[in-house]
Amino acid sequence: MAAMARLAAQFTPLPPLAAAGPPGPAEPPGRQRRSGPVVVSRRDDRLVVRCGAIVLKAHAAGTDPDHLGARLRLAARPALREVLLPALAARDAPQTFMLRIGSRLVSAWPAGHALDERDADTAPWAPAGSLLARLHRAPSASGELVGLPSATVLRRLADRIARLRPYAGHPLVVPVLAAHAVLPAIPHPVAPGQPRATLPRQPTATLPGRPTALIHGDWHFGQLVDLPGAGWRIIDVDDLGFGDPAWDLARPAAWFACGLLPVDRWARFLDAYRAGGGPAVPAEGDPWPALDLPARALTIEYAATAVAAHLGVAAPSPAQSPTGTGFSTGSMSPLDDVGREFVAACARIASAYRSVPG
Amino acid sequence: MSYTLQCPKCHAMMRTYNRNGIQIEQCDGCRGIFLDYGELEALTRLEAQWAQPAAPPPPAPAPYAQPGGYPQPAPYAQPAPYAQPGNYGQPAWGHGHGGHGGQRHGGFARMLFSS
Repeated sequence: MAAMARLAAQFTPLPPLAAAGPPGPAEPPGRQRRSGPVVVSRRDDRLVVRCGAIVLKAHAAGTDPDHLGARLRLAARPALREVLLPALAARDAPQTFMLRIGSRLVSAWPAGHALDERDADTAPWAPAGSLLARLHRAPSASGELVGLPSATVLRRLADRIARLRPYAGHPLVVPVLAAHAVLPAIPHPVAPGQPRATLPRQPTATLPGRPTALIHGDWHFGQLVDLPGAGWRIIDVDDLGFGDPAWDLARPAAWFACGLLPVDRWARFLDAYRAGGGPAVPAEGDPWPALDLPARALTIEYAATAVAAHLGVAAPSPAQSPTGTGFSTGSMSPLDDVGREFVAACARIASAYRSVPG
Repeated sequence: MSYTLQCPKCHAMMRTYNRNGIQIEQCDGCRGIFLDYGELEALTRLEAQWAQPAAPPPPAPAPYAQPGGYPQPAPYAQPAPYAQPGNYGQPAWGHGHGGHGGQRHGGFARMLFSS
């Protein structure tokens, strides 16, 4: 934490913000910041700390420095500055966008207002659709994209399915595994100039005949910040890369398909995406031939994650459980209505695709 | 997990585990298990739940349920401006029309903003 705060001084703040009087944007009532470094989020082994007008992110251990470097350079491109939050450069190396603390890679970003669950009813559906369309239309033949990896999608799916397998007879696990069993394997996307063999292992990315674009890989409303004086920007480049743009619409599509998202909000999002010329879905008509597979996969990932948490097998632990399954069981938490909807959707997926796999 | 008890049989230390919300102590030496009062009953209940005929996931909450189909509550069933199922639609495995309103679920609000 202290090392992170010291590191903040080694990055160049965004000029317009640095000149704008008090450091950082004013917070809405009830969300005042404390002075000094503040932990914004700590999840898995990623740490995000805010130091005044700069937010520092310590990326997960084991992050590939070449991949992260390419992703950060992309986020600093002037052509994308109205879409992605720009990565800040190191003071003494204007083309360097990450520094190290020990073994950790740390990137720096201008601070903006993030959204949280209190904003559920006012989430910016239309601006989100527009931003994703702009991201997906970014030219992908530029030399700056050399070295950019394929996007990472479904980061949790394989892990959560593995955690559920020892509980294969459990009534909540049965439909999840059944839906997973009818999910087709899909080949990697191929980035321009990259041989297929160099791509990281990825279970599911692009179907033949689908467009390949620059995509975020893990998009949801927590991946937007409002940058004062600038507007909405997309954050978190850890999964950014080439892939089928439908993956960035997969979460909202899954929410809608599972009956959790009212059609008017879904329509605002999809209309704005189409109005922006987004390539993931046809400009008119049924979007589901494009969205079906990503939405199904995310639905299964959501269900598997919820059921694993419910059974207390979601958190990795070095300890062996008494039954020797390899997973230490934590305390059981109730499965909420949302989790139940995802499990119910898995049952429908399994029955809809059982006779026609793929 | 912590060491709190000594095994009455082999006198090795016992380790506390939480299994599905039930605290059990297991001996590191002979693997024997110690249950507190009521825990055997709790385990029996869990076992009974587990052994129920495998079946479909739990039904949708009653207020939204509709016989013979998936829940399609009135408030969001295709509001007029968006009554173009062709443009928004649902996949074959979808829930039906619309959705029953995320704002009723704290879980949905959390999900909007996290991976």
